[in-house]
Amino acid sequence: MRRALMLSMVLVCLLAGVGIVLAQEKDNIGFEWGFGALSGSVKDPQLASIVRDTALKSGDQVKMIVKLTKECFVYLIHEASDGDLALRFPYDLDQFATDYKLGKNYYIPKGRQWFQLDEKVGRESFYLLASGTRLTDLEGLLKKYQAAPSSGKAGIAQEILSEIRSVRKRFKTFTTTAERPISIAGNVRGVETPGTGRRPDVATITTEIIANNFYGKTITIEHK
Amino acid sequence: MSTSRSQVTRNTVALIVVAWISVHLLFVLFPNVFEAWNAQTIDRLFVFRSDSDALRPRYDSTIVHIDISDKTLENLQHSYLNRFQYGRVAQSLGETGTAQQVWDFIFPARTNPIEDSVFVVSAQRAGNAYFGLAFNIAQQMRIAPPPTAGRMAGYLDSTAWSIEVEGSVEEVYEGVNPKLTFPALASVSRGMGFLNGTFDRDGVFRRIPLLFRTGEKFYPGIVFRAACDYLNVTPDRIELRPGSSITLRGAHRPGDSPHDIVIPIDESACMLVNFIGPLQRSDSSYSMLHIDFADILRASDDRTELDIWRDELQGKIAIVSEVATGASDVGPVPTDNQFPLSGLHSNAYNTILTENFLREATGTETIAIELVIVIVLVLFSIGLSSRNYFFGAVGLMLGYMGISAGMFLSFNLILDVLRPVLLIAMSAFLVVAYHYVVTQREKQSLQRSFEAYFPPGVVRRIMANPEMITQGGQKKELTILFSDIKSFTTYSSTMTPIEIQKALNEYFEAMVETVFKYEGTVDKFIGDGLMVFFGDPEDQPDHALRCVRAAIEMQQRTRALKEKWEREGKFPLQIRIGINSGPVVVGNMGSARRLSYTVLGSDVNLAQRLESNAPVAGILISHRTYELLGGAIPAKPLEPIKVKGLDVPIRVYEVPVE
Repeated sequence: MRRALMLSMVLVCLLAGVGIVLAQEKDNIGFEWGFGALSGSVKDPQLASIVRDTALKSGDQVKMIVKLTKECFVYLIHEASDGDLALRFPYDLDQFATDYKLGKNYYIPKGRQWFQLDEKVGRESFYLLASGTRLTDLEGLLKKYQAAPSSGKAGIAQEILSEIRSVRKRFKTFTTTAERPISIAGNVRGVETPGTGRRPDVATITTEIIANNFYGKTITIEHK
Repeated sequence: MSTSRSQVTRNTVALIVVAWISVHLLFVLFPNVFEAWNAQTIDRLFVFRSDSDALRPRYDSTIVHIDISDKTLENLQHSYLNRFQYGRVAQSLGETGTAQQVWDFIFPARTNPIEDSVFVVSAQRAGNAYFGLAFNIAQQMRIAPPPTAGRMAGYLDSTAWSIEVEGSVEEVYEGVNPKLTFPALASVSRGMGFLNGTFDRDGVFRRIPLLFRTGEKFYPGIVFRAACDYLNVTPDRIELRPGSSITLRGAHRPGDSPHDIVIPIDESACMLVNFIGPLQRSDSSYSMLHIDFADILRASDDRTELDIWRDELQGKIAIVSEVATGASDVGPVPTDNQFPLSGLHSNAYNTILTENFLREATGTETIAIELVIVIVLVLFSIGLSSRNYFFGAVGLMLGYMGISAGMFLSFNLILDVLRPVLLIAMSAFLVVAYHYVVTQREKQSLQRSFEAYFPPGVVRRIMANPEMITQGGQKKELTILFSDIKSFTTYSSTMTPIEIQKALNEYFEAMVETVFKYEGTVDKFIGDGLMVFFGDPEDQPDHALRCVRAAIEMQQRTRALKEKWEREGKFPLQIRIGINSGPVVVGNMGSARRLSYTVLGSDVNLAQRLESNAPVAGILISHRTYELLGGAIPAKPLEPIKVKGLDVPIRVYEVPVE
């Protein structure tokens, strides 16, 4: 009897464990992300969300925010128009062990500072990655890049970009399940109606991102 | 009444021909039932085939679906998509290097100027987008179609094809009064094609029109136009033969060598679609690759993502369609009764790219097949018994179904299944029923003749088991009885033939009734004499006892009849009966023209001699019969008598009648 009871308890614990693991695997990436550009005059600044190929000019300011809603590892790597790479978030790789909390607003750059676009024009890219586990290969390359002399940085930068592409591809599912419409005796209104011109994601600067195991996005700015 | 063998054969052949004509009539009178039934029978083969890796048609994975599904809208957290989003996807599909993007959409009117212009610019940048239009079909309209508006007519005319035609195009659908994608978008597209699908009598989509007539020119379906572009076939290298084929001369995929592609079509220029399978197969896998529209939309603002997708989509043909709830673009196809009809286009495209065309047997070919079947059935009816004919017909039916399945699975040839099968079934039914009626009639005739010789119970058993009397002669011990009317010849000389007939009929009626009561077999009537035996065709261990008892009762009934006849002024009826038991040969004897079930042997002759030596109104039995009686009936021994044909006197006994 006691043996059966113990066996049941072990079974329950195992099932609970499996349940926790499964629960963790689904939507285990969660954070709020905002990327805004400040343009216009000092008196009347205009804050706009950065979307693909947003065109900014020298002097415009940009700022980002990361706020964790789930325990995951978020990376933001900046590729300048001249090819230089910089890890913008975490502020340094040790931060994961020292200052990395749920619910805290991490501004990039910190505090009230803003990045200001200099005179170097061209395309600037920001690679935003989030993973359920630390991306050790990428971190290794970033450390290598930081330690490398200027002459060797270009090659490592390519390796980093290649690793970013590779890790995104690794986590990607290309095909989806084929669906058929639910058979209804009626109509669905609003699947396609005359548009009003509103664009998604324009009204808000921060959006909540939820994903399974991995999330990756590249935001580019056309610096003109 | 019996039917001769040649008459039965003639009637059987006539019935097979009647079956053939009847089946054709059924198809002519009730096409909605029988043609639909036939098509649905063939549909089963599509389903069967789609579940087998070995049999399934090849899927060219160049073709992929980009689906706007419920999941897409859920992922995007929008309840609708606008043209800005369509534009982003169109541009992304261009940037990822797709060979073609075929939009299973008609964008008939402008909506929001900004969104529309974004969509137009995106489609222009992509440069490989095809959009849809829809025609009304003139042959299906009850009223004359309104003329197409000037600008649209001009656009249609400039994008229609002039192609080489051989034969009549009367049956090719005439497209009128089109519903077009708005001109700004249409003009930047790589091409426009109609999205019309045509369904069969049962509402199932099995074929797709490749061309519509528009005035003197032809307008291609969206898939056909895209396929011709993909295969580098210009309209001047397209040859249309309605009811036969469309030939694409010098067709070649990128990187391949040119060759002619011959697409089988019907009179309406429709191609049978070689469906790979249902949307989702029984093993849960999908027939084609499906990509979420939302993934492409998301990738549109992410260069790295687009880069990743480029590896996946480079050179692909993307069929963009909506399959979200509320989309009405769903219908039955052979492999699936609720199939998103964008799959009709993708499967049609796959059919052309893989050159895996289906062909239906022509009317002449089907008639030829049926003629062969009729000949085989006639040969069966001549050479086989009714039962074997039935099994032969079933075998022929199964064989034909097997051949039809084989032709479909191996050679993509669709034979008419139902009509030949119905022909076989109906002819089998008619012929077997006819043979049954003939057999029953012959059986009844046979039964009537048996009833004159055998008791009813024995007749029933003989009818149930004809082998009882059809086997060859056999030797067995029986008891034979002969009876004869005393001085009948003398009496009959004073009687009219009618009186003789009436008297004999009444007498034999009583005698035969008595014989049958004891289950004896009437061998024959010999004038006023009667020959009977016991112990066959059914074995009767007590045949001697039955025979003697029958003889006693015969004498008793003769006495009663005598009294009656005397009252009526007729002659005094008296009979002699002789009985002997012994081994005899019994069976059907005579010639093939006339057979008689009878007994032969010296013991038969002895029975007859005993009858002539019997006392008037008495019964004389042999020693062997006496032995077999075993004292069950008393018999008085008489002086041995000498009979003709035997050298030694034989022991005889008289059986008292009282």
